[in-house]
Amino acid sequence: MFESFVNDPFFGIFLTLFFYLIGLKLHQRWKLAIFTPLIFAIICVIIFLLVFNIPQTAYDNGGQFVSIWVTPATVCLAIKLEKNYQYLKENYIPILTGIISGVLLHTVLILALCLLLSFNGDLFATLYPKSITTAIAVGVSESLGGLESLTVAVVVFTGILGAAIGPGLFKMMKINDPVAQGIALGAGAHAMGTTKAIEMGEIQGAMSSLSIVVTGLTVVLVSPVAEILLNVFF
Amino acid sequence: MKYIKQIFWIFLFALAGEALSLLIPIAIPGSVIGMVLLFFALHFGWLKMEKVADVGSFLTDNMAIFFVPAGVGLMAHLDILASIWGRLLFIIVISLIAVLTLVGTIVQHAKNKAEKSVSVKEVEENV
Repeated sequence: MFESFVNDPFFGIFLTLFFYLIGLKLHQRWKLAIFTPLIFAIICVIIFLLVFNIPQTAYDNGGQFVSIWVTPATVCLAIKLEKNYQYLKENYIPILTGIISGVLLHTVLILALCLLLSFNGDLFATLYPKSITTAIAVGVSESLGGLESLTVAVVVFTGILGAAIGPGLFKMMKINDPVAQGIALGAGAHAMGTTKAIEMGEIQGAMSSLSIVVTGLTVVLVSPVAEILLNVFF
Repeated sequence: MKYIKQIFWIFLFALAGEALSLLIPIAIPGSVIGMVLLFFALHFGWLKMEKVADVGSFLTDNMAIFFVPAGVGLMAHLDILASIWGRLLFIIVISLIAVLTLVGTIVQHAKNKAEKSVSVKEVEENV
């Protein structure tokens, strides 16, 4: 009976919503990274499944109904792009130069560090898309042969860290232009960075949501190059 | 009814993206192709913003929850994570600082330069 209960799709869906909502409540009260709803829910679901010895496949019967929404949600990022298109039009040269350089530097740096720390090709593929929004990152990681679930974890962690260190780093490096701050946060720390950018100001917020989409697209366009690097170096 | 219609349009673009992704020889996620198609449709007025705005904003604003199952998939890789977490952390911190600094600096410089040339032009025009 227990087995058919945990195999019911509603079990996985309920577990996801339940821990996500608790994370949301806790995060409203204490702004700690560990209470970021996504991180909190992932950790709690994993612990729950381990404690009650429930196979992940049982959870996934419901889980797949939740993850199916990733694709339509990603498609809808187009709405953010269209709403902020005016900013891109006005500053497209600085924005595109910044983002493209950022993506190229990131690719080279990840390659160099993976080689230096003797990570294999799977891990390069896992880490290569880590500064972009989870939806696009998962697609890129999958197509390069990375570990999708590790990509999700790394992306989320990168975002949280970026939001935490962003403002201090800008101060230290004398990056005080709101457009530059927003674009950098979106390019380095995707949606979590954008949450911080919105706190910093209206322009920062708009630029950051724009930057997420443009950076994501750039990473996708550069990924054939990453694939070549992968084949050459690993 | 309104929301059903919005879901219809969003799913239509998602499906079109997935279909094109199968046809195109380069590996581009279907969701990204769908996003580009939807952007063009909105931008060139083939589809009005209000036909997708409510459901669309709901989906993007609450996107995080959709990634919980993918993250739970980490369960299968806990052994890998245990053996590499230190190096992983190092890579994340270094590359994050580098990207934030580089992108911010370049955008700021390029923007200042562009603004300077604009104001020079304005001065010249006024003279």
